[in-house]
Amino acid sequence: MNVAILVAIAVVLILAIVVLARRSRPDAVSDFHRQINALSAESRRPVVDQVHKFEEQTDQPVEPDQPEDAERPDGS
Amino acid sequence: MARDLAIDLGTANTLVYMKGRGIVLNEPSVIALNRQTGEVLATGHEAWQMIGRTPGYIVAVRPLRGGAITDFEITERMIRLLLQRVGVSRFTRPKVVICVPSAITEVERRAVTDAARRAGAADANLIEQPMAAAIGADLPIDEPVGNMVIDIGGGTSETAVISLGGIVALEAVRVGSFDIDAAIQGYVRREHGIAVGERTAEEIKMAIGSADPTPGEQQAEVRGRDLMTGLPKTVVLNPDEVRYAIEDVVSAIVASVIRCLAKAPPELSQDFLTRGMYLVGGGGLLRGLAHRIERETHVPVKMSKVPLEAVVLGAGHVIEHYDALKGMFMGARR
Repeated sequence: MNVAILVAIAVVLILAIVVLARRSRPDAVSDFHRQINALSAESRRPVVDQVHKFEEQTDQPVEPDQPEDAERPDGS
Repeated sequence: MARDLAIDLGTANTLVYMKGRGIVLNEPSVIALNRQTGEVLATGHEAWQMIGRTPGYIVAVRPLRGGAITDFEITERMIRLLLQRVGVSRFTRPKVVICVPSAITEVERRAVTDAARRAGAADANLIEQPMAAAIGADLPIDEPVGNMVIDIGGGTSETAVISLGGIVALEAVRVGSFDIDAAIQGYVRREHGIAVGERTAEEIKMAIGSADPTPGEQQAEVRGRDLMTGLPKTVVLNPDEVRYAIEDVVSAIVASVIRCLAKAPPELSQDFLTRGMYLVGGGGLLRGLAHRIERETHVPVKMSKVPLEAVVLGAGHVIEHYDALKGMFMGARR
């Protein structure tokens, strides 16, 4: 009887380990889709909004504490 | 709890994007130090205005050259000050994504990530500048089409073909807008016998510099120090002279774009003819450069709406979707 219980516990444990290992294994397909979705136009809308905000504020300094007469260097 | 950050650590300017807030800092990558004590006296705009105008005991330096760290200790101090200015403290350690040139070496990569970690970042990851630029320039890089981006920075110029969220072809040269300034400095010294500083050379470039003849060109007066007499002297420069002076640098940039086009698979190549190439980075603002590239490649060239901010906006998008996009970090390629 005791042996049967022990075997059952062992089987459950093995099954649990197998299921957990499968879950934690990185799924390349879903990772790729997540990445592509995160790069979609819809997902990038907040960044595009920032671009529009910049277009509107082209003459204003980015930082409020930046001196008014500060020259901006060229280059990136 | 610190908000995660994206940093465009450029040779010329450093921009910081804070998760959920947008761009919170944009200033020159310059630091002024007391030569004797090593104390930091100024950073950013304040330090930039000191370049070439400091007394003997102060030195104003750019710790990055050609997109690479030339002085690790100073770069670390500059990053630490930047992080402090955006609210990072010993107790609030954010995740940081840093944009770097794609051609940097393993040693340089480690130098940048170590500098950020020592400066207070909990985790520091790197992303290639052209990839970040393409995201920030709002190109449809999630689609299976050829997107081409040319990023001309202060110390590097990179051209990349991107499709389906990955770089397909890449070409980078360690030549940028600072090399254009240096070429102007060298020409004025050689042909007119006067010495001018790097800020004056930059002003000449912005005033009359061009990569191709443009309408309404004018001459410019240049003031410097006569190399023979040591006295202040004024000379007049015309746009043809400046074009001649910077020709080698411009040719190197155009040649790298052509090499990248040649590396692109034919299926993507045909997309460029209809979609064009996108120019980002401060160096891309050189007059006539887009026209020159277009003339030599026969591919339309479009200017990004935000050439100076595209890279940090792209990295900002990555920090907003950190888990989904962490596969794009350098060294995390599948």
